[in-house]
Amino acid sequence: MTSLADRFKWLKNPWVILAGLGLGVAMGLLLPDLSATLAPGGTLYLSLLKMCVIPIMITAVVTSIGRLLMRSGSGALLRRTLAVMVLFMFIASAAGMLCAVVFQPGANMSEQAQAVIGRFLTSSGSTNTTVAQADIIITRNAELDTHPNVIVDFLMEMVPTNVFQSLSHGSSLQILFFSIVLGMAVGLLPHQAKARFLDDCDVVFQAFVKVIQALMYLLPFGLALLISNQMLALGADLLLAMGWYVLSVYAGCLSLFLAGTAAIAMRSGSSFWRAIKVLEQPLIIALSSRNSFAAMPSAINAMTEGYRFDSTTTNLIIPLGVTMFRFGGLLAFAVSGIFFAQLYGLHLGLTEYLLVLFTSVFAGVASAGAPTLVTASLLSIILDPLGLPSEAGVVLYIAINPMVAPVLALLSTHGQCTVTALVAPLDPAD
Amino acid sequence: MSGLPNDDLSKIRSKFVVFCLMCGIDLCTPLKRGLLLLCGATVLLVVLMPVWSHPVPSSEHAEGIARIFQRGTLIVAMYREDNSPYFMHDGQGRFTGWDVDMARDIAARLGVEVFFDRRARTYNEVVDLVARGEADVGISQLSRTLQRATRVLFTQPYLTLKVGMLINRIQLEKLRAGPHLSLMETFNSPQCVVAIRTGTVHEEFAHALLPKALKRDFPDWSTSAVQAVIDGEVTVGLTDETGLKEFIMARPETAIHVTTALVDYFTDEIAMIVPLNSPALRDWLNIYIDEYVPDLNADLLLERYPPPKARE
Repeated sequence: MTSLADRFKWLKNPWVILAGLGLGVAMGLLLPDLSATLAPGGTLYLSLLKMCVIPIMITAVVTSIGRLLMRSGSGALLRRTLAVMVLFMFIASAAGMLCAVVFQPGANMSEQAQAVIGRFLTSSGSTNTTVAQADIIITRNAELDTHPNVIVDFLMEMVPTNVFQSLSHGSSLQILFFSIVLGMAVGLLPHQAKARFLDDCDVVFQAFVKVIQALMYLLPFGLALLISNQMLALGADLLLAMGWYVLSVYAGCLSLFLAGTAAIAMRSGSSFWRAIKVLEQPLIIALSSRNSFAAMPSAINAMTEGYRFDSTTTNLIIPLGVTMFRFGGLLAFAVSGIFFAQLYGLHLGLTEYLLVLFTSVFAGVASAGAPTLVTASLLSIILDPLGLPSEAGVVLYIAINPMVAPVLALLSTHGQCTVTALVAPLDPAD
Repeated sequence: MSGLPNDDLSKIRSKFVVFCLMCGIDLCTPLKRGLLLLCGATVLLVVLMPVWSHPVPSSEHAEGIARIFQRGTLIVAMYREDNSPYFMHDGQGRFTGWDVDMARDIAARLGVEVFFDRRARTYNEVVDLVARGEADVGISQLSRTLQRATRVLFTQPYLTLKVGMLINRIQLEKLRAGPHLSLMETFNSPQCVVAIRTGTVHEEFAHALLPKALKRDFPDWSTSAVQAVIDGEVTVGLTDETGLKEFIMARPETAIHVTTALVDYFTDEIAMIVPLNSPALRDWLNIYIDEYVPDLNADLLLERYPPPKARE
């Protein structure tokens, strides 16, 4: 077996991975038909990665919480984790807001750009292409103009009624909640046998990590197929019109990435470049699959194997963070809030900035575990207090999301690694 | 039965003779033959008359129709300004539009020329012209209202439009108070300012749909009222369905600041009008609408008559 692993070790070389990326881009642009035919291959690879995510999440959270509760001093550790997480949420929001203020994406938008956005807003969702349609049809028994109560909805959403249903639907927030409860319950049991149970869970965890490691050999190919299929024609003119918005998001992500890498490098005692290199796999998965969830197993692996951070802590922080504290989405919300305020000419004073800061963090938490299409409507949490219309905002947010989703997933994954580096102790051994 | 100049005529005659014999009419005496010939000639004359003459007004024709035939022209009252897609000048400068083409078709079917009287400076002036009998018919995207119906006769509607609303997004957010109000209820409050043009049918609609809202008068729709909605000076501007859709297509950049709505349950019936003393003409037009006017809606109209500027 070792000779086989050695023989294919070159597939894990970062240059090979980048080559796969490049091949994917080239194929997508030059051979779109071939890319479309081969697309199922990329989807299959992604499915294989995703297949491991839920088992890893459950076993990671249960074992880590269970073991942490068996250890002393873990209360402090947990408190520190939550504190750092929340702090990072605010930092991410502030970074997004700062970039939006610097680049002014919504201010001074050319009339042409406004026309592009306007045409997009009026045509989205309508079937008639020759004659424009109105946005709203008011009927006699018109529905009540209700504003949902987000806090209540979020709490209701978090607690599952049927665990197996949550598992089969893949509702990650509910699975997380359940795993935390189970882990805590097991950790507080008086029996000695609980250690054995936790060890068994750990075995399952290690098994799936092994599967992930094996899948990494296929990363260049899977990557090529995934990327090639994603060279979709996002309306080029809409992209141009929203160019500054996209730039603000990218700038925010980049700045946080650099700061986070510096923190990881300091904590792990490695150089800046090595700090990036060790994380290349989870970062590339996050970028190409636009999904920090899919990158989670690889991230855990990198932090524990690559940096030698304590696995128990890592196994808790990363699943928790990836599900509940999504820095990427949060940054996008913050930028969007400032963007729309600028677009509608709303004066941004201290009150408004604080409002955006807090509401975006809240919306970021409330979007736990849900895909973008669902979380887009949470934009109203940020826009309503400012008195800005949310219907147009949500539509635009969904439309421009494909362009920013990869870096947002990257930020989420990288952010979790940063938090882990700041909270988890390094393994004393070796 | 000999010595006849025309072969066809003899054929007709022989058939006629056979017919009479079958009916039991005896043709042996010259008197009876003569009488029969006279009847036949009269029948032929009456039957062939429309072929070679203009309609000649007679006491049979009611006043309205008689006047038209006598004049040989149908006078159609129409609002002075162009209003796409009903009456406008297209890219090539031709006078066209639904109302225009329909008026021309009506005149053709009556066998007369058409003349468009465009003196009216408001839509209500179109009604005035017809009420005074200065025009035979008013075809001008006229909405059927009870007030107007006291002064003129309305045909059945040839088009049903919905009421359109142009809404400023920010103002709408300001209005959204409690969560238990429908959109119309939100608009129907004194905090909501509605742009209207006094004396138009949309003023009536505004009072009917949003009685409690505050109304502000604007001299015209296409410039001042629209700009007021975009700028947020007013919350809502009321217009008709075709006007709303044309606005969306012509000014896409405004969609950031304004949103649009159609009121599904409140209809604006568009019909033709004739003077009170022309019920027969009204009935004729009703038959015309039944037989020759298809099911119309705003989208069909806009597809057939795209706004002139949309071509650029």
